Amino acid sequence: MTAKSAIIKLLTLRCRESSELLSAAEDGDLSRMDRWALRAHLFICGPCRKYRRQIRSLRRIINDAMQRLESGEDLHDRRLSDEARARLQSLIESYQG
Amino acid sequence: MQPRKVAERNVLDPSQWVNRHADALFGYAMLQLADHEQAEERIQETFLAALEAQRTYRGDSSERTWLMGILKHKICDHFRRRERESRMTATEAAGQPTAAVFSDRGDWKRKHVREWPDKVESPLARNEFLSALQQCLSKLPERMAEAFCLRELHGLEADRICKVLDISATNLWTLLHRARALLRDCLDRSWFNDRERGPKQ
Repeated sequence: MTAKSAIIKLLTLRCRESSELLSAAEDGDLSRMDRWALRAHLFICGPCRKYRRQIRSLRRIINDAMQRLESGEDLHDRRLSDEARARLQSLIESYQG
Repeated sequence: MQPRKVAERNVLDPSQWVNRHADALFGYAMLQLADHEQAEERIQETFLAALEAQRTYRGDSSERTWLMGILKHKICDHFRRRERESRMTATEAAGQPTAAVFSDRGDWKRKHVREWPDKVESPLARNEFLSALQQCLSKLPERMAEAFCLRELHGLEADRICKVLDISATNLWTLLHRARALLRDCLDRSWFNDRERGPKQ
């Protein structure tokens, strides 16, 4: 990227592109240019700062819920049907046989 | 020297799997598959694979965590199979518009969005959150929802997901970005909005 196009990017980054970069930053590293463009945009854009907090919150809430689910907490509104439970139970018993 | 914590090691008890874990596994699968039959099939595959692999269980993790790990693999396999069968490419899915979220100029449509919490403390609220998440996930294009589930629910790294879904890194970033933008909007309307009005009676 030339210096000129880099400056243009810094000045013209819109929320749509900024939100793309915010998301990509959660999954990997950004190029130095993208990091600077994003930093400059975030400095002036409150909604994008809030969006970053929200997608990070979303990640943390899901992560937290998944950990609790894995460590033994049940989802009380999701139940297997009795037929499915019986099927699975007899599958296990026939295997253990 | 004797290992000190032998007594605390977890042991498997397949006869209790349905009682102890089937609902949790089902709930987890339903989050991502949104279809009873598909979810039940994955549980069945999980139990069969677990029965086969009993000898490899060393008791380091709980029975639940171990079964969840197998279920995650089964869901990945399912996504991979569906990927091969499906005609819709990841590029097409990534091309789904986020018009609902941005104006034509590329700015946010709704600027005054509320702050979200970092954690949901009560189990009941967590239940409601996961239901809302499932609803919102089911509205996303399939490929997008899969990419999101693998990243955020399974916690896979980007390069693994690219292999499972057979897509490029750029495609994955676009999918994840669109998924987050659409989910954020959907959850903001359904779940967070609901909570601001106070708990359900």
